[in-house]
Amino acid sequence: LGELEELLLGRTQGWNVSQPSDDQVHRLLAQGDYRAALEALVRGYQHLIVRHCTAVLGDAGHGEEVAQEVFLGAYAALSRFRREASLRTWLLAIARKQCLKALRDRRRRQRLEEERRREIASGAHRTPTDPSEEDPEALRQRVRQALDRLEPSARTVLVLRYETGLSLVEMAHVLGRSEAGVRRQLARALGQLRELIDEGPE
Amino acid sequence: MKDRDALERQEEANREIIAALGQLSHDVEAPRDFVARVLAQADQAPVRRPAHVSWLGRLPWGVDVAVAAILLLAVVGAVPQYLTWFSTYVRGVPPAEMVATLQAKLAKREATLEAEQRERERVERVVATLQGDLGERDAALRLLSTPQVNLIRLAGLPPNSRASAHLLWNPATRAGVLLTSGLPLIPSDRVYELWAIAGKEAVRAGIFQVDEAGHGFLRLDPLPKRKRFDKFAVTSEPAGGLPQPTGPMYLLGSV
Repeated sequence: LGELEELLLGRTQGWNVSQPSDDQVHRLLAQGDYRAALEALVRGYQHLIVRHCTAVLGDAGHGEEVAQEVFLGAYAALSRFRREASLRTWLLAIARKQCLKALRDRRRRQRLEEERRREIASGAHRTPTDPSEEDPEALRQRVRQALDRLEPSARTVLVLRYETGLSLVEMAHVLGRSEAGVRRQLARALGQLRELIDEGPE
Repeated sequence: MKDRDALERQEEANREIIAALGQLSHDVEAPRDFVARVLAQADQAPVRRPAHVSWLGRLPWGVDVAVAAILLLAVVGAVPQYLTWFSTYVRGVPPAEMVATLQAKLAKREATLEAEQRERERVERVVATLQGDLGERDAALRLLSTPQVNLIRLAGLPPNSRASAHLLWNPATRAGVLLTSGLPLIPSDRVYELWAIAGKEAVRAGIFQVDEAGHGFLRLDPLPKRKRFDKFAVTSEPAGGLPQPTGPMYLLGSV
């Protein structure tokens, strides 16, 4: 693997790594054809954005709905898009804001429902399980449940890094923070997620 | 360094949780009619359409200031009556000579501004490319550091037997990167497409292009988690790729 690591470090410099749809979007934007640019943008990034929103929101239907809002938001902002940012990080930055807004709305609704019900949870204390000894599907469910209880900003950084697969550089662009700040936020969020998983469901 | 250590410690202590995070929505895809639905909404909501931006507003930062300066200079230079009066009665210089000098200065400044603008655009393109490269390399190195990663070699098929590729593939997270070399350049209306093959079923794993040396790089699209893939192949397809392979096969390798 050492040789391959060298190969990656040396040879990928200067390679053409942009997706074909990016060039098409840039060309259409230069021509002022915003609708065609939107179509190319959606075709190129629909799966990424739907997956990202679903991972953050924990619900496929809601994720899809918010993903549509992301593209419509991008459409309205296309005339202001600058090539300094990559289309991928630009769209993910819009997705981050839309998902945070959707989470805030959802929490507000949940609080109202809770106030109405006024039920006292009687959950028994759960003994923490070592994740390394757990069935992967059961662990995935517990991670999902814990993620849903995590603060929206912490949830977003974890999804951006470990689900969507962004590099720290890309995350710094999306979050508008320094790389060191992103590292700190990620470490904190991982710790919080672990605590919630060990606590068990609410 | 402290931040780096803290994150590395957390990642080391939570490997299983990170793997589970990586699989949260890997089998989620946009529905088939997603593009049509977004476009229909965009058409129905005129307020969402991009606001009209004047040609001046579309210019990159700094150029609008430069254009304003040029216009100001032009206005100053377009007051011949004033110049005639000034040169003839105040300085005693022939007006035609003075206008020619000012026009030459103006032309020189315009040329300088244009050259600076071209340079700025070139640098912006380089920065965007480097940012993309850096992100891809970071992802590939992160994948390499994962203990479960497999290395799969894809061999070139005749008449492109000299082409080859390495696929770094993590069957647990379904993440991977592909590095190719020696693939021929194909027309601009076509792309290379990678396929993950489970038995007789081919699943698309992403599209890419190559440079003059046949080097290509692809970070794989997330693949469905319930399938057991035993082969990977590369074909050429129309731009944008297709859901099923139709074009000639260039590379093939077994897991």
